[in-house]
Amino acid sequence: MTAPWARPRPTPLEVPGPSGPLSGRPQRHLRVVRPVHPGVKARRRARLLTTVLATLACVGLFAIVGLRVVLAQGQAEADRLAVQVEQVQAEQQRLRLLVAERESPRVIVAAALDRLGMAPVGPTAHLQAVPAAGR
Amino acid sequence: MTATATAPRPRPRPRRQVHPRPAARPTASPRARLLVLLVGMSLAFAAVAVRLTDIQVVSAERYAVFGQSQRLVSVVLPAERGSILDRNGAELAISARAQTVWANPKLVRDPAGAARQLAPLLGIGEGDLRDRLSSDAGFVYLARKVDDRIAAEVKAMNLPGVAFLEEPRRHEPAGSLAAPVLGRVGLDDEGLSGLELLYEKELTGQLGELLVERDPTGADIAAGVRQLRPSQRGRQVTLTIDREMQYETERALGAQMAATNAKGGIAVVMDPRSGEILAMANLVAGTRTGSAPVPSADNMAVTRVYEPGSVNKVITMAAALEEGVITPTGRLNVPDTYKVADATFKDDETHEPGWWSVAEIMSHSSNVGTIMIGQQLGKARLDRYLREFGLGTPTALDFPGESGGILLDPDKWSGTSMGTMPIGQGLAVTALQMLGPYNTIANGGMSVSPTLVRSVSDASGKSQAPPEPERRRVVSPATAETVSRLLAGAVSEGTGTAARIDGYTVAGKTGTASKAREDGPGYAPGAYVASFVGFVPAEAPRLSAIVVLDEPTPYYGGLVAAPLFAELARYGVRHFGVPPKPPVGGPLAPALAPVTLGPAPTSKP
Repeated sequence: MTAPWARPRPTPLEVPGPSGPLSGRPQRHLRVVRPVHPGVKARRRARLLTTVLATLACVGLFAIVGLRVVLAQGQAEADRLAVQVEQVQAEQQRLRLLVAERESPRVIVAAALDRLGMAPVGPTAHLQAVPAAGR
Repeated sequence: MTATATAPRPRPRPRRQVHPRPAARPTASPRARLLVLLVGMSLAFAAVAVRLTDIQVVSAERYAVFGQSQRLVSVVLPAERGSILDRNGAELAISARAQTVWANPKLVRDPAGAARQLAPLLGIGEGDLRDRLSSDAGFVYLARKVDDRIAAEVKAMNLPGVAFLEEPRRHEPAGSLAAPVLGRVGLDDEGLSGLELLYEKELTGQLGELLVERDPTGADIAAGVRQLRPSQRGRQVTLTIDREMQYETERALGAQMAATNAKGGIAVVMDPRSGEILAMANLVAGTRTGSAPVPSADNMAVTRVYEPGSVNKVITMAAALEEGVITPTGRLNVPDTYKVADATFKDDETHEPGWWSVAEIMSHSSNVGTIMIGQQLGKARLDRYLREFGLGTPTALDFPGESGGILLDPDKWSGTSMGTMPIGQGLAVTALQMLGPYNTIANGGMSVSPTLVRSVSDASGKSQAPPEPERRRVVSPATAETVSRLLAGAVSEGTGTAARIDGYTVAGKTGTASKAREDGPGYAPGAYVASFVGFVPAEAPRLSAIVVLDEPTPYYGGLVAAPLFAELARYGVRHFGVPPKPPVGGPLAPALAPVTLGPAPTSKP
């Protein structure tokens, strides 16, 4: 077997710093900044927008679900109340009928004669008005 | 380094016999395959797109409607029928909800067992119920509009396939009070007779509708379509009938019918000034011997006709006075019998011929005297006044089945008609028609058409009054006053003395007429119709009434109908607060003071 061979690494170039001496040229107050690509900001903005939109969508969806739940609850309550109204109306009708029956002359006369022992009124008596003496 | 051990070598498999493969077909290149796949997928997508466009765009509406029809359910909301009230707002007929028992036979597990349980409760034959519960239909009625108690008991049984439905049901809280006038309704609350039929349009409400979106399980979709068009209750009809007066009229009529063994009876009480009918009673004898009279099937006061007899003499007298044929002071030589054409007429009581005044003819209800006056009046004028007083045509009530009576044209009168017509024979009237002439006299000669309805109002309370009753002058006030005095005389000292009531002056006339045969011409032997018509107080009439008894025993109007009139009048004046006549010039109570007959105050003696 042969021993492995490695290519020797190239020696990195010495890059003079901005403040390093450069062969006597006048020092320019420049510095190296990280290169900024023009699309980075837009990407950040898009990412932020996407996040916001996604959050909003989630919140919206939850809100819709919640709203539908509230609606369903409200509908159930409305149905319950409608049934209650129907029942109360039916009861009111029943009582109205009962009152009308109790008020009918047949029932009143029967109660007066049978339960209370009353008797039918006789003919109206008309008294003669006698003029006072001497007038 | 050398291996010290070696793994055992696998055995060689037995070599299979290799058949020669068929020659491979030339295969398409992958590019071509991809192309075919692409085309296939494109076509599939295109088909989906076309279908999607058709569903979503071209036929979108049709599919939407189709979908809605599957989800939307329309529930019909029944409308309550309007109430019928008396003049004071007391309910005579009202609608209330009742339970209807129905079944889905497809869900009934044991039809025979269910029928056995339900039959005694619903009052339907077990076999009939079993047939219904075993039918192929998905809906069958078992019993409609049952009582709440029965519905509760059926519910408690918890029978599979048996369900309930709410429907409005007509109730008459006062029982059979004024039943022939109110009429009946059918199973679907439609008017069949009487006022229920006459005011069907007003009483019937408008059906409502609930449009609701439901899921396949039948539950309402919370955020789905929900459109409610509420039902509208029918309008409320307020009658002129007074419930208490109606009750008393029916009670008194029933008692008198029972006492006189009458087959039927009619009594109508009115306010002659307004034409308002305050009570209208129609009774027939019970089917079993000794049973109490029951309401008739129809309103006999306007549907049944009979020969009025002597109560019709008021028309002859009024016409003769109006035409100047007779005067209040005039006298006629009245024989006991009188021949007209080939018929001989006689008075009820035999008497010697004598000069009778008009008042005497009226108070003694002389047939001969009235016929003589009628002959002086003549056929044409008598016929004209009979019609002017309302005979021969139905009244303005326009009641269902109302009869106009029978009144022949003068050119069809026979030779004896001039003997029969003046005394109320040879013609037929309804009870309400016969009350009309007396109302006219009570109104000073002005005819006022009768009315049964005061107002029709809707749910908001907006009320609509019926048209004003027609008023038409028939005779002059002077004639009316004279006739009124004649009628008062007939009560005070004539045939109608049983109609007198203390404290008031009653004006009226008795009638006893033979009853026409139902199976042919002529009169039924021994069958009579007794009647009394009059008004009170005679000086300022507030109440008028007619009483008709069918085949009473005894049969004289003065004996059986006049006392009933007095009973009704006595109750009426007290109930409606009619003051008695104030004593004039002395301590005598009004009814005890004799009514002066003869000339009216406006006439010369």
